[in-house]
Amino acid sequence: MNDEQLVAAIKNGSKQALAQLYKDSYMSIRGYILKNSGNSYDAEDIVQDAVIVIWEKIHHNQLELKAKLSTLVFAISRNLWLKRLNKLGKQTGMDGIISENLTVKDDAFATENRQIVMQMMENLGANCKDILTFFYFDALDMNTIAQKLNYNNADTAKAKKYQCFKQLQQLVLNTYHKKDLI
Amino acid sequence: MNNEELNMELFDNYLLGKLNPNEIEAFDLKLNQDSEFKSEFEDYKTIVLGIKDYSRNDLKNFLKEEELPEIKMVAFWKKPLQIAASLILLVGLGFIIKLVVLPINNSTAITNAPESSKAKSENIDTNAVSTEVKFLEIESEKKELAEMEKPLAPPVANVEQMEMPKESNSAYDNFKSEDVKAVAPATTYAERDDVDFNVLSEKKLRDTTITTKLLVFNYNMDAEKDNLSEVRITKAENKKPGKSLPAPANNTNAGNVNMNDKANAKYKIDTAILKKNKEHKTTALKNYKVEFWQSPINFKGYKFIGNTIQLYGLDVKNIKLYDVNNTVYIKVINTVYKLKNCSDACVYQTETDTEILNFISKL
Repeated sequence: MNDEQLVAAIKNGSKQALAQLYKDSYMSIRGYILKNSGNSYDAEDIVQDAVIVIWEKIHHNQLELKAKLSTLVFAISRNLWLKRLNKLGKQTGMDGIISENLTVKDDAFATENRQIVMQMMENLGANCKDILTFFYFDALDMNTIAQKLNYNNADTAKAKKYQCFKQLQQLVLNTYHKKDLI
Repeated sequence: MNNEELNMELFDNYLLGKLNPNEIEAFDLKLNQDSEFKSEFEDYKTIVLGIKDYSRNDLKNFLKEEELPEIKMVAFWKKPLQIAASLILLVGLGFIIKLVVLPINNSTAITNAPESSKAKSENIDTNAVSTEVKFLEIESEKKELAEMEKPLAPPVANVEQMEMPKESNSAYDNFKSEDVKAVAPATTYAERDDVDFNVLSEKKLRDTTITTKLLVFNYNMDAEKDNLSEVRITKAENKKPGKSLPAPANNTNAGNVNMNDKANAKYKIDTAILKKNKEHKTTALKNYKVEFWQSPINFKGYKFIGNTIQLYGLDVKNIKLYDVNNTVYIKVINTVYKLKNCSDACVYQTETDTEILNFISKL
């Protein structure tokens, strides 16, 4: 598959195409990460995250294929890895120690809430998971979602999505209340 | 559609970037003025982010299941050597048969051995023939035997001789069993074994890490405007200058081999960015580990896996590496070779695209 075909397949929701990109990119990035105080597990993790960024960019129409896809994946991986190194304070000893504790507090609350939402997603039915993923993560329009999930039309899909969102919201709220009682 | 649904649609459109500038302005204004609207939006946003996290995680789990390609740097020249080894074994077997089986069968008339072995089996016969011819070679070129070409050369000669058994037979007829004994086969054989083990190890002459910029070369652009950057590698230090260009014959014994293994030349990497173009940014820096190897059979070619480039039979002091449009080029003196990803033996391929060549020559 060439880049255009790969992008088209990913846009179409093919996880296999993304896996292909992942496998194709892994080797070169692994070399880079190994040379920069990482190991092959770091490399796997980073490349996974990088191709997921590509997935999101493609689905949100933010990807312009000016460079080769592999170059893009490499550039993203490199950025992600440098960010992580910075976080770990590995890259520039002194710098890392100072910046380490600054940003954590602000994010902590939001991160915790997002994690609750993630957990609650697990409790939804398969259809609800799909429809919310399709709509928010893959940015598919309601017509496409209706087709994919065999709904009569976009309106049905829209109603279903609303229903699922409310259900998720309720689950999250319940968790909050339980937490507050404790 | 109730108010909540309407709000959610508005939020969706806002987050997915479907509002026009005026609507966005109005939305932002409402966020600032209406605290209830704002908190509703914040709650909504948290849930959407959580959904995205979930989807991302889901996709990541899918990718984790994927099997990654194995990192294999298996010496590709081992295959011909395996064939060579089996041929030597075969030849040795023929020799043993000649020495042990035939004397028993024809203990009274040794000179008749050729005819009787021929009658016995065609296979054994040809093997025996090549064995003897080979041992003649060994006898005459005993000293050069340890040279690197040798492990492969005899099997090649054997194949030729096996294809032409009649020619060999005349040589065979002139060759008496007594002569074979005179060669002292046992010691010669042991010697050959030694030679095999010492020489058949791949030698890494040196390695170096080269950082290149990923260049984007646009065919349509005026060449002068192109974003040019260059990595120049100059040899700064070489611990063992005498070893930098070892001829195969210099590396015959085990001591030399080990020394060469460790003789890694150090390179100073001198980066010179000649011109910068605002439109075309270099996307990233890339490190390549370039290793200079020598194979016992003097294979000329390369392997290119990930960021590691292994160059065989190309030990030149000044090489330049370019990454143009995601293709790696290596410039050796005045020749530009295109390197493809290649996990097995690939021969050097000269680049013929004049535009690429011009581009590189201007760097």
